[in-house]
Amino acid sequence: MFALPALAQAAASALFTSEATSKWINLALGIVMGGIDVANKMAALNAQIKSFVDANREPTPAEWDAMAARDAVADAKIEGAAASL
Amino acid sequence: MRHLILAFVLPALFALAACADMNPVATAQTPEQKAFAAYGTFVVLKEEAADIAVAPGTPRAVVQAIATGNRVVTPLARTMVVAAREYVAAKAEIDALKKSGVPPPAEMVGQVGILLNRLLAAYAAAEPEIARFAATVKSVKGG
Repeated sequence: MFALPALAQAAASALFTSEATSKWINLALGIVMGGIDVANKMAALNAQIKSFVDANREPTPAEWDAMAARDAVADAKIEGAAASL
Repeated sequence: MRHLILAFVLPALFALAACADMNPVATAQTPEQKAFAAYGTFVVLKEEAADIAVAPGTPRAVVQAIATGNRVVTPLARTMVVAAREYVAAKAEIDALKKSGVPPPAEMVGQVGILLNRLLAAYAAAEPEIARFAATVKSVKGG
């Protein structure tokens, strides 16, 4: 799923030499990849929750820890970006 | 050119629409599962917001809006996580006692009730702020 936008981006870079055109294409592709990324992550989370429901179990400490680690990484990126303004 | 952009933007809009239809919190059934689903949804959105914040050329106002929203919602989300984990741990102790044939002490059962109420209160406080943060991220993405 991720290979297609990457291939399209490479093709677009080869086909279009205008800087303005390239920026538009990169912006559009960025939106595509970001949208696909969020949709994939939400689908994975939904599948994880469904597995809890199906197995009639609660999230384990390791699963909470894994989510907290992702939270911490994203937090550092946001605070780093804000600090560099 | 316009057709080319549409060809790339439309799949993104469909992906975002699919994302909006998917609701892990609605899939969850127990308070712990709902807390995990709400926290996971927040983390997915926060990862997206982080990618936007660090992308070169992102306007300062957008980075500031993301950082401000993040500072409001993160403590509430983490309080909810702590409450959920404490509740899960206390409930597991009671379940272990029951499995071994030992009736759990009344005060332990009472404590689990208190922890459940704390979890529900933390969830009620975090959930609207997570929704607000989601709206911020979506507006930044133009969706």
